Amino acid sequence: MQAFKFTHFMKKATTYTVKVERTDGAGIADFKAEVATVPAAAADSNKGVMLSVNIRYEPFTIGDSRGVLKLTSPEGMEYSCLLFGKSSAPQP
Amino acid sequence: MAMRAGVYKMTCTFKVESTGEYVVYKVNVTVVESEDQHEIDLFSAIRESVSQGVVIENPTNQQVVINQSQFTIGNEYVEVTPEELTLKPRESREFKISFRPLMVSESQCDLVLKNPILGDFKYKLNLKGTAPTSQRSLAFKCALG
Repeated sequence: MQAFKFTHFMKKATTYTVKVERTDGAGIADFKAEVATVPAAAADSNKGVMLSVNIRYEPFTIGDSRGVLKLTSPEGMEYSCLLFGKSSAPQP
Repeated sequence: MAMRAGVYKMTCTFKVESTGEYVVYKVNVTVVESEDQHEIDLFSAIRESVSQGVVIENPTNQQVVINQSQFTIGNEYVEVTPEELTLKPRESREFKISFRPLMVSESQCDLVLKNPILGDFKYKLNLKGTAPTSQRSLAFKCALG
């Protein structure tokens, strides 16, 4: 599991919708976000507010997986992150 | 030199010392608001910051203090620094206009500095947010099961 950290700069509170999509074909994505939404408080300074969302990698097959994480707010803010996964044979 | 808009009235007397003859002129000077001083382009990739310096001149013989409350800015993501600028007589100093766009868009806004001594300074800001320059990524590695 890894955390995707991002900075919210908007001077009003909002809620980001989290979406993970597979980009290397159809079917269930090997990546999962731990939450469906991320609430963000208003950024009072120009440094913004640091937020994060945990992404879990749960591969079903051996090999490479690709996906994309998208966070969108109703105001039109958008953050995206490419996800790369590599799974190997089970260890004894 | 008039720093602020308004009507300035004065009397000018030319006098011949030896004879006492004189002539009087009543002078009315109407000073109007200046047009937009500059157009400033502030273009940046979204969530990154761009800034540009603007020089303010103090042509008077008195010290002038410019603080942030004297600025009126038409966009909440445009900021002016420093918080306070002190200009000694006949000195020029720079303040910085910063913009951090949050969305890919293009707009214009006005920035006005109203100083009680130096008068009004108007700027038109052309603001543009462009697509992010970098794509973030996360890499995972694990054994099946």
